[in-house]
Amino acid sequence: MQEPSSTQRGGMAAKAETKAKVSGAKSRTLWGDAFKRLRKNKLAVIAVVWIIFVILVAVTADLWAQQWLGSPTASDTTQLATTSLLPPSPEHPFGTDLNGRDILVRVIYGARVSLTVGVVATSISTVIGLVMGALAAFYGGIWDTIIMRLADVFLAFPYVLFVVAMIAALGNGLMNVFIAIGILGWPSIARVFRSAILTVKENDYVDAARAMGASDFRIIVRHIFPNSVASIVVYATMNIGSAILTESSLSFLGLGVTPPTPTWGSMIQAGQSYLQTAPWMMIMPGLAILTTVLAFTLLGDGLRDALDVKMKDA
Amino acid sequence: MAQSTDRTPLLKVEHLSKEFPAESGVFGGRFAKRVVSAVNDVSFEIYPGETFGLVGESGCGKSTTGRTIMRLTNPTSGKVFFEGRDVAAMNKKELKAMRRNMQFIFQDPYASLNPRMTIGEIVSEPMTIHGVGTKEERMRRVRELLDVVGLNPEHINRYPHEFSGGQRQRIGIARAFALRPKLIICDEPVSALDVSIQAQVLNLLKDLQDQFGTAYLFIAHDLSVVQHISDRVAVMYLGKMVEVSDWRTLYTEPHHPYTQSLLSAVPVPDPDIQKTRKRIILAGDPPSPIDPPSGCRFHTRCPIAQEICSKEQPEWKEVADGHYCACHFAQKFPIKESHIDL
Repeated sequence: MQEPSSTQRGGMAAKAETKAKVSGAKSRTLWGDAFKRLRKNKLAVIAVVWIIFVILVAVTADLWAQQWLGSPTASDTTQLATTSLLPPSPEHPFGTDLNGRDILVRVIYGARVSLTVGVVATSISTVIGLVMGALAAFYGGIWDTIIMRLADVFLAFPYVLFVVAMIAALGNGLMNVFIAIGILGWPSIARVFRSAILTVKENDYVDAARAMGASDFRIIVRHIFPNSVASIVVYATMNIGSAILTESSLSFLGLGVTPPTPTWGSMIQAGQSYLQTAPWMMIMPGLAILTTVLAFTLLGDGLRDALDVKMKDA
Repeated sequence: MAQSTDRTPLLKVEHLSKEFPAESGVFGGRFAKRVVSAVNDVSFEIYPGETFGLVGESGCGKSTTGRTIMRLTNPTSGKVFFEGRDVAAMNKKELKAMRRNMQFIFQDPYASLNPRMTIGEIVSEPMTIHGVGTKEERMRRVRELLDVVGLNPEHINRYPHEFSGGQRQRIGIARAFALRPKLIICDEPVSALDVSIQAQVLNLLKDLQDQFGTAYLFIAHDLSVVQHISDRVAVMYLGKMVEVSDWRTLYTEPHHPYTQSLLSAVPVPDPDIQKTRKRIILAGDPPSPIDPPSGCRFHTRCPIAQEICSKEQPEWKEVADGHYCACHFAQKFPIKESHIDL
């Protein structure tokens, strides 16, 4: 029953107040502050610039790439003798492939496939993951058990093998690649979101909303989601990189997107027989995969540091 | 409660119990054998416009009682009647309608406001949820409410972190009053605040009660805070209610040894009197609610416990008009000075 003296309490309260003010300041302008911190991170800035560059090139390719470098798919068999397997030159900066097609233009068009797969598959994974994670964390009990055990089952399978099996079942095609990679990506996102929600759920403002009579949907959308979304942004960004990588593996194995549509994975596969005589056939699309996936990973890393509350004063 | 027989209670709690599983297993503890008995067989009434104080030390179940009444957790057994209707049996729709008239003020002014919402959004949220008025009307009402609780209505677009603890508690109070509820459960609303701010917030709560006729269930661990605001006071120990009375009787003629020991711990702001007072020091810590003592739950620490106390649960009896106590030896000042070993 004995309370500490009033001066002690005052001191403690004042301390708690400044502390809360600091953390509060961050939480309110979270996105603004995060952007400022991200700008200070050189690697993340380079990653962002690179991603924007790749997106711009892929989106605007129809306007200039073909006029400059020729068609990425058609091959002129009459001229093969003079155009096939040319090394990099000013005319063909990345060289040409077996069919005399310019590799740069194929890499540029391959970026379209990779980026779409990365974004669409990650969106599918994220939506499923968010719903599953929210159900598990918010309702708990039997829901939690069922969903998280299901996630464990998904995660227990070798990932690429699982995707290959799904593509085999669904058939080839870009749409099926979206679906396969998208569906198989949900368990990790569900786990991350579930733990974020469980942390946020403990806050009194969630109980306050419930006490007001707010619906579960409103509590999730207005109170839990805005306070737990940061971790998902980080995770989804990194997931784009790994989805690109998975798509490339599939193409390399000859699954998924069908030729002659250029994809980075299928270009590497086509080049592997010519590794000694025409190494640019493999190196160029390989570099494209490397830089793009690395850029998404570095951006994810940067976002994690920028959004991390504890790193604030660092 | 003689002075209240002519009125119907706003809230009637009957034999309320709440148990939590004490261990978690594969099935989330739903089949656990050992339970924490947080609230055990608690009954009381609250009448319109009155303040009912609920005191007890940490972990005695007073907050759980408040949360169970609000149905933030479901009771294990017992009934809670709000305006004559059983809260525990309500479906979602009825519950929502009930919550319009029953609101909650939280202990921690930092955790109870969503950091991503502006003050305007926070205070208007109850009105939004219950579809009261248009957007403009709601915003006008928010400005009124901010003014009433002593905040600048111009701050409507600011975020919670821009306010001090006391100001944030005022925001929480404005939110609780937004729908003009009939009952507000205040869960230690001032114990996280500085002493000087405590008095301001208590006075604000009193003023608002005079203005709107709201009833309070006022939960606190500090008898002097409860005394300041309550009409009637109940004392809880280890999940059980041990004494209920109007505050003056409880403070001047405590019948339960636990109440008396609590009162002896409240400091008197006069050093000469304070020096001569004898404090009743209870031995040890409160026992674990996982395995509460047999008979009277207080017998392990009671200075006047007899053999019967460990065997039989004391009856909840009316010792004076409107004054109830659960003790085998209930009488005015059961602890004599001869009992105190100093």
